[in-house]
Amino acid sequence: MTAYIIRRLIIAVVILIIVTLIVFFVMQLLPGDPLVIFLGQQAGTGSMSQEQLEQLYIRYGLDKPLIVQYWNWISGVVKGNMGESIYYHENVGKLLLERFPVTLDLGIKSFIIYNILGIVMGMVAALRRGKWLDTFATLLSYIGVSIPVFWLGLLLIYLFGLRLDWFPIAGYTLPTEDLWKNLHQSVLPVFCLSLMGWAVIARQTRSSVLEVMSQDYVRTAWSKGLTERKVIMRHILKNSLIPVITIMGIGLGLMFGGQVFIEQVFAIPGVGRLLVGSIFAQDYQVVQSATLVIATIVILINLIVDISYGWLDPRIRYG
Amino acid sequence: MIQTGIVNSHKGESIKMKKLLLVFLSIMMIGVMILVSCGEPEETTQPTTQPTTQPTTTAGPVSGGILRGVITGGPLMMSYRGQMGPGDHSYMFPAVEYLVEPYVDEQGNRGWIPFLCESYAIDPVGKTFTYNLRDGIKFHDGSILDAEVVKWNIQQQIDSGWWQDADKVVSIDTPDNSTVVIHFTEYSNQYEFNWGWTAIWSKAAWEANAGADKSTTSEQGIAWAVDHVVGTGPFKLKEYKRDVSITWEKFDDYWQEGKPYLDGMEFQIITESTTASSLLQAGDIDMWNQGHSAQDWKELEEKGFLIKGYWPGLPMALWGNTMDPESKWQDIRVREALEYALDKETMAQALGLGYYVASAQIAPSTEWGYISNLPTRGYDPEKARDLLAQAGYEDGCPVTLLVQAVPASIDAGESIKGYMDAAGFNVTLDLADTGRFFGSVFGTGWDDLVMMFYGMDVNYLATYMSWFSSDPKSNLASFARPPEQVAMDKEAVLIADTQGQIEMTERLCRYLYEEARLCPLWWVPSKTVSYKYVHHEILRHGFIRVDWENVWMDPH
Repeated sequence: MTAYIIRRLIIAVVILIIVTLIVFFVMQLLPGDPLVIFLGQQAGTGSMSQEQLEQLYIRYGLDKPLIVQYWNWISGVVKGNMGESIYYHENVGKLLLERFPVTLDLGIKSFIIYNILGIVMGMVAALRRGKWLDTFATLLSYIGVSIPVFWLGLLLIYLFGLRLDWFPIAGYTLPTEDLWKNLHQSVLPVFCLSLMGWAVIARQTRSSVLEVMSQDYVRTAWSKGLTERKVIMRHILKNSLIPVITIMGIGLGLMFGGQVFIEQVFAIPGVGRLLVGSIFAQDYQVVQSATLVIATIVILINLIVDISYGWLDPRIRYG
Repeated sequence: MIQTGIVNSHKGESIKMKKLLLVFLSIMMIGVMILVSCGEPEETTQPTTQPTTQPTTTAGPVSGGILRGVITGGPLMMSYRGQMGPGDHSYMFPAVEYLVEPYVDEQGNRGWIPFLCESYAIDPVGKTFTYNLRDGIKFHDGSILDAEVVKWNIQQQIDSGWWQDADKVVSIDTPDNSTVVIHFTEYSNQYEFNWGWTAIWSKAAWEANAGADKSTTSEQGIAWAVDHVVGTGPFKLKEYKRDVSITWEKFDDYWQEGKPYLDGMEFQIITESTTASSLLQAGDIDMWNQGHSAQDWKELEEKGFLIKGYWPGLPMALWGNTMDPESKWQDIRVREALEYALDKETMAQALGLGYYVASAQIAPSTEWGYISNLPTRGYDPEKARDLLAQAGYEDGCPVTLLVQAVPASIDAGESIKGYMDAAGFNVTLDLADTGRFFGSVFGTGWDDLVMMFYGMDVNYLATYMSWFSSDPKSNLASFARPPEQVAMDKEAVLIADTQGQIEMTERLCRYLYEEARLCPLWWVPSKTVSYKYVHHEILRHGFIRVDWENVWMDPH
């Protein structure tokens, strides 16, 4: 197991290097220039001389060859310095530190909710296959996977924010500042974020449970006279979870980049909004560093998911 | 038999499933209908969600209250001119004031007024610009505004490279504590704008936060200025949460006695217009400052909200690439064909829902530069076709129209394409995200044709100089200024008397129109949306002055 983890960590480093290369050079391929875009949006290039523009290039290191720029960025990251945002005039590390807690807060809440609901509903649907509960759960999961979150967010704002006045229409407060306000503000965005994840998990759990239910060892468990609870919890659920956990791992990764629509609708200052804004502004430092952090998290989560397979299914051996 | 049983069983399940689906869809439909019917009454009546729409009307300004509003973005730099754009300046208006500010009276007459200075004088012969400062003006940090502070501010703006005509400055003197004199090499009637409209920040605050390097361009000072502002304005910065909100509190030592009326202002930063509109209708905010469209104005006006605007707003135009010698837009026949191809009245009416005003010439009718007897090019697609044929485009003139990828511009782009195609052009729309769009317009240039606004300044000579002249504040990269225009520009800035400036502005605007250097489309008015208990005229003075100190609210 230890050798496996070490090998995976080495591969992870290689993947991260490849990710940094791709992100860095793809950003360079985009048409336009971050300083020109920034100055253009400020509508002020007319009053800036070429000499001053060149000083800005030097300041942000954009005057150097690409490979040198890449090396400067990577060596800075290794030392804990992610550089300075051209657009925000701010240290990228500070910007990310402002945004990650927000995304994590909403992401973890929705992750917990959609997984619990999804697994329960998927289990119930499978165990009551063909009954109205199964049909209802299947219908809901179809709706969950097909409804656009952007539209759902606006609908929820109209219904629960404007008409019924049950929840705030927009805004975000950190739980450390005001827990009650945070929970109140989180209801609508977390619901939107959870819907698709819940539907996917429910569908996967249902099909996985159905498959496991037809296995010999489950029949053996029933034949031993075990209670329904024991059969379900020990033999069916645990063995059904492997594909579900794979999806959970993907969901955790998507959490960081996938919230952009919700952040836009509910005016939440998360990573998604920062990343999209930075892509449009070609704010290299922010896009590169945020992508690197997200890639690192995704790789670590996948490692944890892979390791968890062994716990869930002792037959799995790590070579 | 067994197989038939299975099939029947599946059929039964399938029918049951369909029934359930029907029931579910029916419930959904009924739910949606209830939802829609719930929304109906608000279409035509005053907003009923909050009692705040029925204020206690008072006779005059009332002090107190926190104004809650929505803006679409926040400042990227608060108090270092070298890295501030127009957007940053506008977000800082509550805290920062200028030596000279624009003013528009109730009859619409406009000009410059001394603001932080009691008076100012420009001597074209003696080549001096003299500011006589007001006494007793304090910054938010308690320091005093005096001649040394103003000189330091001017020097910082020169050092940062963002003071237009800085190369004309010979020296800056401070003969006494309240007088600043700039000696220059050559007179320009744009100095009121370029030098008078100068933001003033606290020198003491900068030096206290600039670290060891106290220079005007100290790196530490610039880093501090990103999210700190210490000005003389009616409101002090209380809190700024990037991309979330900006909060202002009343400055008790403000120099205009009795002002500001408000105790503070809280602006949420929201880019999604539906969300902002919902916040307003729910009574969560008092004013929606930015990011609304003609559709929003119409809907909210019908619901009883106050839609307010003063200036003609942002003029929209089509600009051909006249920098490229190979461009088709070098041919005046193609440029004129573009004018004849468009039914601007109909387009403005349809796109602006009655709020946009079609523009037949460069300047609006209220401004210098408007020529009442100018023969304009009305909608005439046949004439457009003829001109294109004369220019060698009998089989259609291919055009790539660069448009910013935001809903209002996309709609306008589609409409323009329709008219142009019908008149013999063959238009391909190039929808660009904001970064690429402005990067092209102000930076690398556009290839063919672009739909882009131009500004509205205190008078139209300033507008011309800022946008069209050979020494612009906002340089549209593919817009050429031929030698005859450059010569007129040089002549124009030397005119000191107002009547001469008016006549010159007419000449310049006539030149632009007759040469069809650009194709003006319509004016998109700048408006605010608020409850009727909010009393303000914040757009009266245009885009470079917002008099937040005069805003007040009825008790509500």
